[in-house]
Amino acid sequence: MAGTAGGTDGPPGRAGRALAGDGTAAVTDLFRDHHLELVRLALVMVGDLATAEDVVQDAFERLHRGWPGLRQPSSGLAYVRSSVLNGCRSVHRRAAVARKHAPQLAEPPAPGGADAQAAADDRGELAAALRRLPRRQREVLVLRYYLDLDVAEIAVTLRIAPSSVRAANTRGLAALARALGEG
Amino acid sequence: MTELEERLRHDLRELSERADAESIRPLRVPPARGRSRAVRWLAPVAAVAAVAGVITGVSLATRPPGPSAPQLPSSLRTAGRMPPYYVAVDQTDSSQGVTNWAIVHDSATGAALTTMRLPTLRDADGSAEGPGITGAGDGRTYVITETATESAPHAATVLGLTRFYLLHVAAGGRAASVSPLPVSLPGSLAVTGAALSPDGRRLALAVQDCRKGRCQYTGIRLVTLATGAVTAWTADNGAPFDVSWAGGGQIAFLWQGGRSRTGYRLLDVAGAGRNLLAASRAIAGPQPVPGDAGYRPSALVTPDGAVITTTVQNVPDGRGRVTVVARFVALSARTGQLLRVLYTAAERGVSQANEGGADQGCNVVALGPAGLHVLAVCFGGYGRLDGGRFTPLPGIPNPNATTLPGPYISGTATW
Repeated sequence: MAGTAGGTDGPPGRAGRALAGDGTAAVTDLFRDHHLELVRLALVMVGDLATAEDVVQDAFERLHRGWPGLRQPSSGLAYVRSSVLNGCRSVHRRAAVARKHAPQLAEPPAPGGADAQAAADDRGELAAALRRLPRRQREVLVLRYYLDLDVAEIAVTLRIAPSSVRAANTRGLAALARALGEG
Repeated sequence: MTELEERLRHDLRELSERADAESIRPLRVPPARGRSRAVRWLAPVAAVAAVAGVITGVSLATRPPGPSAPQLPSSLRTAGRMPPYYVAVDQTDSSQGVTNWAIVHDSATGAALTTMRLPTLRDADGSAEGPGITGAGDGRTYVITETATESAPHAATVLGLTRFYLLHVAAGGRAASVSPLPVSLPGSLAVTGAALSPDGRRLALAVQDCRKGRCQYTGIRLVTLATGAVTAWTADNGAPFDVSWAGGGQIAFLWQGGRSRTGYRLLDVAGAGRNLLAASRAIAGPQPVPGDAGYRPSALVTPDGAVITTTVQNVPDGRGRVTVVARFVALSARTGQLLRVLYTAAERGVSQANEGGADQGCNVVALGPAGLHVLAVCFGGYGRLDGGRFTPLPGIPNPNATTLPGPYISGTATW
């Protein structure tokens, strides 16, 4: 959302304050105003609160470190939001690495098995199905239906074309419907 | 808005409300600018999303070496040569899409000598699984695998395409070349492990064909790289993992076949018969913790087939954050008895793993030719284990140590 969300990032004056120093004050403001929202975004993406907290804190560290080079300090929220999504991707990728390095059971638990049922109880059947979608579809659906971003905002956040956002949205909804037996 | 969209909005909102302002951790104060980056103001994601390696662990109750403990075999008491290079394979993700890379590192210093872009398979969504790598142990010859998969909605069906490439590192490590190998597998066959023979001529593959909630086929395939000829050992009611070459033309693997049948085995590739279990024999190995669904840590057999190198550690039980103590150990492949504790590592504040990411432990990744040098991953960082010391090595998966363009790194490595 760089360049488009600046007006909604925080109360007037904070961006100007950011320009004055190394960004600590502005990052602190962003953290106070948006920490919970971003942890919740990460929680939806990775499913674990402790990991979500760490992803968000790391994103804020990146923001603080990169503040001097930020072209538009008013887009700090967009920057850190993208950084959180990147961090969530990294978590998923590390989980894939973990699977590479560890023995696994030959047969994955059946969808209706005890493990899957427990997961469904814990996170919700739909959320579990969402987590099995390809990465881009998952991110688009979360940004659209959790953060209520429009197509243009999602495109900027994910750095993809608006047409790709619409396509991922359509395909993701169709896949979810199939997974839930509605398609 | 459709009913599904409404439900998506509602469920995501409900899920997110598990985090509330009272329960999440507060901001920690950043250090003054100019201080060492080693003093970081926030817990790095790498610390919690470390490579799992050990999904669970094994009991720490392994007998400690006492006065009567057996000695290491003579072949392992002699100094072994450390491979001059290790190669990390990795993936970056940018707005242009994913890209796979290989980085040749100096084993002694960790310095990156060569970085090269690899062919990258992508699925229909533009994402990719990431590459895997296995080496002959000579610091020159490696095989890289890459897979694109397509998951069906219920995740029981995984169809994939795996491609194989030969990576040759030139003398000095400052140049390398990649060429495709004439190895072809059916699209439904997932490769769960690969091991290049010490002479670099044969590739052992652990494979599975799992569809519709069950595995129709599992086994080990041995591919002669020059010709593409394949010898297959098949099995059912289980699957092989952790393939490695154990000397004398034997392939070591972990057979995961239910609690009573799970264990480490040796397959003589020159022997008769193509039934994987009948053609192989059981060897000792680390024992799983009761009640943890039978998962075991990775274990690699030394080239003389005598010693298993693995890890033992306690496992977070999900109640808060705990201190995890992980030990790298050498076990007798014949008796399972502890021969030596190679190194002990501890990490505080580890939380329970979950499917989404966090992991907490140490794992063996590759052994040097004599088994005296271990490439390992421990609490999020790769390193070299030898002489009772753990020497951190750059490469993966620490995002702050990357030499690649793009900020987010994961991957694997081998000698």
